[in-house]
Amino acid sequence: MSSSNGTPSLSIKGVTSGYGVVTVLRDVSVDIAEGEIVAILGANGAGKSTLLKTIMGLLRPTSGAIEAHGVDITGNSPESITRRQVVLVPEGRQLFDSMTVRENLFLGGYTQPKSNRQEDLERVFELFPILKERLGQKASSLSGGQRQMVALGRALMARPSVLMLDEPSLGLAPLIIKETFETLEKLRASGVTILIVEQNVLLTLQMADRAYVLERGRVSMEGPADEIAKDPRVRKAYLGLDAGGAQTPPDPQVPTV
Amino acid sequence: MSDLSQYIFSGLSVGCIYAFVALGLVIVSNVTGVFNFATGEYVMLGGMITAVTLADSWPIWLAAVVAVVGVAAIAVVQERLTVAPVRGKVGALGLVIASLGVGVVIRGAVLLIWQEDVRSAPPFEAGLFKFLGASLANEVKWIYLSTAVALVLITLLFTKTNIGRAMRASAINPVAARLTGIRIGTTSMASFAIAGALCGLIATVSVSTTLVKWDSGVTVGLIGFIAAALAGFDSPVKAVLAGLALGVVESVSAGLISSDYRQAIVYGTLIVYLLVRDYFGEDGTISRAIKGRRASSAGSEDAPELREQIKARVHAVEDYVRTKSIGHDGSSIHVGGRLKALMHRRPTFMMMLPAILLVLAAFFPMLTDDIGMLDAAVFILLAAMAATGLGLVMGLTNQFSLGQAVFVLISGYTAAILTADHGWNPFAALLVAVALSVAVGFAIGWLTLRLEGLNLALATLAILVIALVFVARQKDLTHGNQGVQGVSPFEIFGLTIEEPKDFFLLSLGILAVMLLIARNVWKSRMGRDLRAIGIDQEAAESIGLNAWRLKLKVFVLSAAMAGVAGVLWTYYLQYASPDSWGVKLTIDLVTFVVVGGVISPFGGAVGAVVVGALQYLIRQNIATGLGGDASMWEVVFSGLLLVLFVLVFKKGLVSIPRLIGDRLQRGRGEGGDGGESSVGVSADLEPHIAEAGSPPLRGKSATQSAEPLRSETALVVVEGLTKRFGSLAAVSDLSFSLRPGYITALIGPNGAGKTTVINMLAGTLLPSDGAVGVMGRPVVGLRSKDIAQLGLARTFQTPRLFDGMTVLETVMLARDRYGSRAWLTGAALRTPRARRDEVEAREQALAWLAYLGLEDDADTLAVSLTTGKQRIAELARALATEPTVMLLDEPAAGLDGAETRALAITIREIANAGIAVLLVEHDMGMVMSIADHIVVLESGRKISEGSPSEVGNDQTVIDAYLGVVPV
Repeated sequence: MSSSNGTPSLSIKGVTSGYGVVTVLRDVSVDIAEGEIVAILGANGAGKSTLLKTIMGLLRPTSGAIEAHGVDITGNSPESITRRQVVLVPEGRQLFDSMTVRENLFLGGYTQPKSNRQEDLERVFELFPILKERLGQKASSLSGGQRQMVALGRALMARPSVLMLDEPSLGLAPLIIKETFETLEKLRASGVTILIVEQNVLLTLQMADRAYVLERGRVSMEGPADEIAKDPRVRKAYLGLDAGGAQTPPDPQVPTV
Repeated sequence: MSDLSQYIFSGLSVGCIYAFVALGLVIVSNVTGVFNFATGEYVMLGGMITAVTLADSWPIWLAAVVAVVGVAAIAVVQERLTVAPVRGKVGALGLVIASLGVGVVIRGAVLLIWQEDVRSAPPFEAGLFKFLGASLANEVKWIYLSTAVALVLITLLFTKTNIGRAMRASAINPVAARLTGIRIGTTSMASFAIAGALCGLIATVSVSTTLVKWDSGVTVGLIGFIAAALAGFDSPVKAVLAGLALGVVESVSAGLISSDYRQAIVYGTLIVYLLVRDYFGEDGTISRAIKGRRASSAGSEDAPELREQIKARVHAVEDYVRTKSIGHDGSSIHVGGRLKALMHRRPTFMMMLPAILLVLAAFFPMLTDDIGMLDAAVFILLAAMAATGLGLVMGLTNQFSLGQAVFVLISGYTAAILTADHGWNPFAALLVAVALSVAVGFAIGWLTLRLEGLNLALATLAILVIALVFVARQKDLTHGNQGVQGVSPFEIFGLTIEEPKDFFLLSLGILAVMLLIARNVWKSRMGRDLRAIGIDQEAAESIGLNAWRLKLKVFVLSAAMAGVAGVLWTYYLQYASPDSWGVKLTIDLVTFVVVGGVISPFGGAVGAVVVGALQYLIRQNIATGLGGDASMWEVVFSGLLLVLFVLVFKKGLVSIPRLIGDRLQRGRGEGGDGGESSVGVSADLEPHIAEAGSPPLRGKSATQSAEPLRSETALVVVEGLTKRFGSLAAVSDLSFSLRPGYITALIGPNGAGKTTVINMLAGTLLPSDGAVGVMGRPVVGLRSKDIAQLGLARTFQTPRLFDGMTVLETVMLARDRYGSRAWLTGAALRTPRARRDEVEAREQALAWLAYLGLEDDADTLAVSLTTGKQRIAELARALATEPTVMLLDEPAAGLDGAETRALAITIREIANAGIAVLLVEHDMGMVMSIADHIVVLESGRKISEGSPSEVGNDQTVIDAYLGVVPV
C-alpha cells in the first residue's frame, strides 16, 4: 500500500452494497492516499458507479465501512459527506440546467461561507477562463466541454480534499477529454486527492498512480497504473475476449453461422 | 364592453387567490414531490385569522402579519409532522392522501374554534374606483398591488438568496442538489413556509371582498389545484397565469353563460385538459394512432407454420416437465404434490373470521332499542358498501378515486325522484338507479381511467363537485338544496322494510353478499391481474394484460356497490339531499378504506365499522365535556385517523388479526423450509431428463435428440429505428433483424441506447422514426400489451417482479390471458370454469418454475429472492407467455459466475426451441460464448455487426470499449 503519511484520504473497507435486494458490490476494499490519483476500471455493470454512490451516501452499504481522513462516514447523508469536503462530480454531470452558470457555481459553494466565494470563483476562472464570459448563460445552452467545466467548477467551489469523478469523459470529444485530464493533473498538483471512474481505460491509466479493476462487483486486480495497463486481463475484463482462467464459457452446441 | 371589462377585472382579483394557491402547490410539489391538498385550507385559515382579528379591531397590518406568519407556521408543522418523518418511506399517493387528511384536520379545527359561521371583514378601504370601464372596490387595488409585490419578492428570493437557489436546485435535480451539500429537510420546510405565507397574505387582502367559512378552502384549493395541473406542475410562472386565467374564466362565464354553473365550467376545463393531454401527449393514443397509420412491417415475415412449430416446442417443454413430474406411477410427485398442497388448504380460523363477524353482527339489533344507535349502525353498513367498492379500486389498482360519492349521489337521487315524484315501485326504482350508476361508472371510468395517481383523483373529485353543482341548481328535477321529500320506504315482494332493525338486517345481508363478491374478485385471476397492474403497470402489460379494460371492470363493479348503497340510503332516510353525499362522504370513504386497510377486500367494511363506531361514540360522549359541537370533533378525528394510517399503519386494521396469527404460528414453531436450490437448472430434474431420452428443450440432451429449431425467416425486422429525446438522439437509424433459433446480442458502452431499443420494440416507448415489424405486422404505435399478445416477451434491466406476490402468482399472471375471457361474473361468482382455468394456470406456471429450477421457491415472495433468482423468475414469467420472440435486458447483471453460466445454458436452450432472442448484455464473456450475431451500438448508432469473432477483432469496437488516446 502506497499511503505514505499514515491515514489514507479515503478508505473503503470490505464494502458490500447495491440497490435494494440487488447486490452489486461484494466485499470491495480500496485505499486512496493523500495526493494520489486512483482509477477504478471495469466493464459496464461491474459496479464502478455503485462504488462512488456508496461512498457518497447515496446508497447505504449492507456491510463494510468507509472512512474519510480516518473518520467513519458509513451511512452518512450525501450532504454531510460533501461538507467533509469529499465531493463527487456525478455521471452525466447533472448540472442545474435551467439555472445560470453563476448560479451553478454558487450552489457548488453552498456549504462554504460567503466570504470564500469570490476567492473560490477566481480559482475556477483560473482553470476555466471561458466560464467568466458565460456566467449569465443558462447551463443548458453550453457545449459539452463547457458543461464539463461547470461540473468541475461547481465541485471545486466546495473546496474538495477528495474529488471523485464518475465517467468524466462520457460523451465528450477526445480533445476535450484530454483537456479535462490535464485539469485533473493540475488539481492533483495543488493537493487534491482524486478518485476517478472511467471507461477510457488507456488514457486514465496514463494519468493515474494506481488502479483497481472491478469485475462483477469484486476487485479482480489492483496495482500501479502502468502495470495494470500492460496486463492482458484488462482487455478481457472489458471485451470478454481471450477467455481463460476464472470463467469457462458454456458449451452451447451450436454451429456457428 | 364595460360588462366584459367588469367580469375580467373582478375575475382577476379572484384569480389572484387561485394564482397563489397554484404557486404554493407548484413550489411545494417541485421541491418536495408532495401534492398538497391542504393548500386551499391555508387560504381559508388565513381568511379566518384576518376576519377574527379585524373583528377584534386589530390594525390591518397586524392582522396581516399574524395571518402570514400563522399560516406559514401551520404549513411548517404539517411538513415536520407528515412529510419529513416519512420521506422515502411513503409513496407519492400516500403523501397526497395524507395531505387530504391534514386538510380535513384544519377544517375540523377551524370549526371547533370559530364554528360554522360565515365570516367577513369590514372593507379596509371603502369606495369604488373605475378602471378601463370596470367599476371595482378599492380593496381590489390592494389585491392587485400585494399580488405584484409578493411576486417580485418571490422572484428575488428564488434568484438572489442561497435558500432560494437551493430550493430551485432541489426541484431541478434533487440528487445533484444533495451532492452540493443542500439539506432536503431545509428546502422542504422552506417551501411549505413560503406556500403558507403566500396563502396567508392573499387571504388577508381578499377577505373583505370574499366571504370565509370553515369549508371555503375546498373550492379554492380545488381550483388552485386545477391551475397548477394546467401548468403541468412545473413552472411557477405558468401556474400564476393559469390561476389568473381560471379566475377570469369563472367570472366571465358566470356573467355571460350562467352564474350557477361557473365553477362547473372551471372543473370541466380540468377534465377536458387532462383528457386532451393524455390523448394527444407524446405517448398518447392519438400520437400512437398517427404513427401506427404510417407504420410498416419493415419486411418482417409472418410465418404461421413456424410460429406453430415454436409454440409446439415451447409447449412440449412444459408438457414434458408436467408429465414427468406429476408422474403416472405416483412416485414422482414433484409438481403434483406441491399443487395439491397449494389447492387444498384447510379452512383456517383467519379465513372464517369475516363470516363469524358477520353472523355476530346479525345479533346486534337484539342488543339495543336505542334508535340513534340503530340509525348510526345502518348508516355504517351503507357506508361500508360504498367503501367496499372503493376498497376494490384502491386495493387492487393502487389508484384512488375521490369520486366514489358521486355514485351514491346519483343512484340515491334517482331512486328518490322516481319514487317520490313519479310514484315508481321502490324495487323497480332500485334497479334503474343501480343501472344508471353502473352506466355512469362505465362512462367516468372509460374517460378517466387512463389517467393515473393524482390526475385520476383530481378528475374524479371534479366530477363529484360538478354533480353536486348540478343537484343544487337543477331545482325542477332535484328540488335544489331542499332535497327530495316523501321518498317511499323500501318495499320488496309486498314487504315494506322500514323499521331500523329490519333495515339493519337487510343491509347486513346485502353487505355480506358484496363482501363475498369482493373477496372472490380479489382472489380471482382478475384480482391477481389487477394487483399486478397496480404494482407495476408496465411489467403487467409486458405480459399482455390489458390494464385499462381490467381497471374499468373493477371501477364499474365499485360503482354498482356504491349505487346500491345510495338507493338503500335514500329509502332509509326517505329523503335525498346533497348534504349527505358530498365531499365529506367521499373523503370519509377514502378514510374508511385507508384505516381498514387496502391490503384486503374487507378493509373498506372494517374501516367503516370501526371509524363509524368511533365517530358515533364521539358524537355521544365527547361533545358534552370539551365544548364545541360533536360533529366538529368528528371531523378533526377522522382527519387525524386518515393521516395516521396512511403514513404510519399503512396496512390498516385488517392486518391486525393476521399479525396475531403470524405471531401464534411462530410461537408454535415452523419447520425449516426447503434448502436453497441452484439457479437455472434444477438438480432434481436433471436425472429425469437424462432418463427420458427425448426432452424437447434441455440443452445437454438436445444434441442427442431434437435438433435446434432454426430458420432464416426474419420474425422481427427493425429498420431505420430512431428515438430522439429533445435534440438528443438516443438511437439513430438502427436496423437489424431477429430470426428463430438465433441469439442476437446488442452490446455497447453505457448510454449507447440499448434499453431504449428494447423499450421501442416492446411498445413502451414510441419511436421518433423508423419501422418495426413483428411477424409481418407493423407494431410501431401499438401498446405493449398488444405487442406482447403477438408473441413478444421481455425481461427488464432491473427485475420488475410484483411486490407482494409469490413467485407462483407472478408466473401464473403470464398464463392469465390464455384462460377463458375474464368476465367479471366468473371472478365474482367463482364459476366452475373460472376454477378450472385457475388450476390449469397453476399447473402450467409450476411446470415453468420446475423447468427453471425455481419450483421450491413457488410460495416465496418474488421480490425477496436473490438477484439471480429474481432474474430467473422474470424469465419464467416471460417464457410462460409462450413467446416466439424474447427480449432480454441484461439478464446476467448482478449474477455470480456460476449463476451466469447456468443462465447462459438456459438462454441457449430457449433459442434452440426456436425462439428468436435479442440479448442486451454487458457480460462480454457470456455474449461472446452464446451469441450467434452481435450488433454493436455506440451513442445510438450501429458501429459494427457480425459474428462474435468478427466483432471482437473490430478496432472500432475495441476503441469504443477501451477508449482512444488522443494525440
